[in-house]
Amino acid sequence: MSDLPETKRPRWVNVLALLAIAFVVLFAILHLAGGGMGGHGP
Amino acid sequence: MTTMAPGLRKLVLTTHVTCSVGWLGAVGSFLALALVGLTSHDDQRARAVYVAMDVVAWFMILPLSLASPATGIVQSLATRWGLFRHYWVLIKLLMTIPSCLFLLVHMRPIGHIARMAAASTLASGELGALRLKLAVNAGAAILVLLVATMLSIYKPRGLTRYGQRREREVNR
Repeated sequence: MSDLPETKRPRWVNVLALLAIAFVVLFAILHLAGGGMGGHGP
Repeated sequence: MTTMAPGLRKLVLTTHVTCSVGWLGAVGSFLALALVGLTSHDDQRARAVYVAMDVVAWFMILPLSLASPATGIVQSLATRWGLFRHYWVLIKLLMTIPSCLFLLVHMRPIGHIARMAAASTLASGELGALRLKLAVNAGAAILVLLVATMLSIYKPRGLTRYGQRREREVNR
């Protein structure tokens, strides 16, 4: 089951990775900046 | 790689799917409760939902969040898919492990707000930031789990470098 030429990463992986990075960054900003969400409690 | 007997493989697969989709459902319930707690003007109802959220988190979300990747790892290692050969399997692993860790970190604030609610000391509007955070985090978790579910169903093609190397070894 060889899917692609050697070492070529599928485009969907790159797209998903970019979306994941954007998601994590946004989440981190929301948590660190407060954004009405505060900390983890006492 | 040791290939699992078909009967055992189906049992592990059933367990994995049940735990994974159950995890998604439990987080959906948690989100629904969190939204009620966030928007309700009825103090009694709001307190009740935060107590319920603690129960859902400890008895549903936490055990399912641990069982899902555990059964997934067992299944992947004992079948042709492997754990690191296919991108869809690897990405699921990279998504669910941090999700479990994230959940463990957030069990404390969930318990805190539930204890306040149970002691009837939680008033309307109190701990608003934490209430919002619980809802937002649950929404984010739903998104992550939906993506994992889609990867499981669609199984998009793509071998990792390791997978390609193993493929070449097998075909040699």
